[in-house]
Amino acid sequence: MSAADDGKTIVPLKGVRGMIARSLTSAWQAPRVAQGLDADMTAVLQRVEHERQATGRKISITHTVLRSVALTLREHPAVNGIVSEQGVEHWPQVNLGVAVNTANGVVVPVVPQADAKDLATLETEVATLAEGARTGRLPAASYQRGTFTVSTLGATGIDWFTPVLNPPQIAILGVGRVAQRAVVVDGAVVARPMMTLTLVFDHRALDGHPAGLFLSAVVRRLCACDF
Amino acid sequence: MVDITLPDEAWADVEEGTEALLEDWFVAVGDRVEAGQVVANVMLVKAAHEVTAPAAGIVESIEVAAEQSFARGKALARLKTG
Repeated sequence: MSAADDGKTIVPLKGVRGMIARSLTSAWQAPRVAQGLDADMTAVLQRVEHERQATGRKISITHTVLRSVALTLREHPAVNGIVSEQGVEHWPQVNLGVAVNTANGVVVPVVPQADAKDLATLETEVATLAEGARTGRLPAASYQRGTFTVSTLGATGIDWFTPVLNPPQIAILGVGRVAQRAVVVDGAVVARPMMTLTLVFDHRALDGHPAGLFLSAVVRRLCACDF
Repeated sequence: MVDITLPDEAWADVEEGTEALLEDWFVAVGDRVEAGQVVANVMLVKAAHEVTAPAAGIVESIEVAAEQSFARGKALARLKTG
């Protein structure tokens, strides 16, 4: 970062910032679609509290989303993979990218075979990856082989956002905050802790119908604590 | 003559076909460098690396210019030693 004479601050598009810029520019070439769905988090919040007490770990909403996404990707292989020169590659492994905010910008280390990991394991691995990303000590390979990315911005207080694809992956999920909202349950308006999930996908690789079925299944699994 | 490279450790488990980006050179042809001196900044995926001179010597040639990408094992510059 450097300060020019007129008081402006210039952040060069170098280092991690440069890689982010190049990656997102490449992502912008993809014809993308966004789909959104609200999740009633009543049961999940209870489950998170229970898991925290039972394991003594800092299990969060994020880990429940990661686990739900990983398990659902296994059942929806069309969403899990990358777009390469060979074509659309659907991978047998579910390798989840997790967006991590660092002083240099957002980076996306990957939890390999995330569908085989329970909440406590996910918590440990994500914490280790996030720490490594923030200190710049993660090896290059930690950022590769992702088949899907989850980006959570709930801690910033936003309700929803449409993330940009993390190339070459087919899709990415944006997760907003949990907030009390008025919803209709059994014909009555009640207050419930709600969270909006936004799926953005590359329409070259995936169509709206299977994408919608995937997002619905993620939310159904999450709300039912079936993870 | 000794090659300056991005060491193999940096490339461990990296996907085949991945290229690194040479961001900045801190030395130019004709400069004298010491062993271990940082001579360039490189980005590999999202990991930043400082490239160091493997030996003392004089920079004979720059093989990968700043802002160019390169593959594993590529000589970034050549040093005349001794």
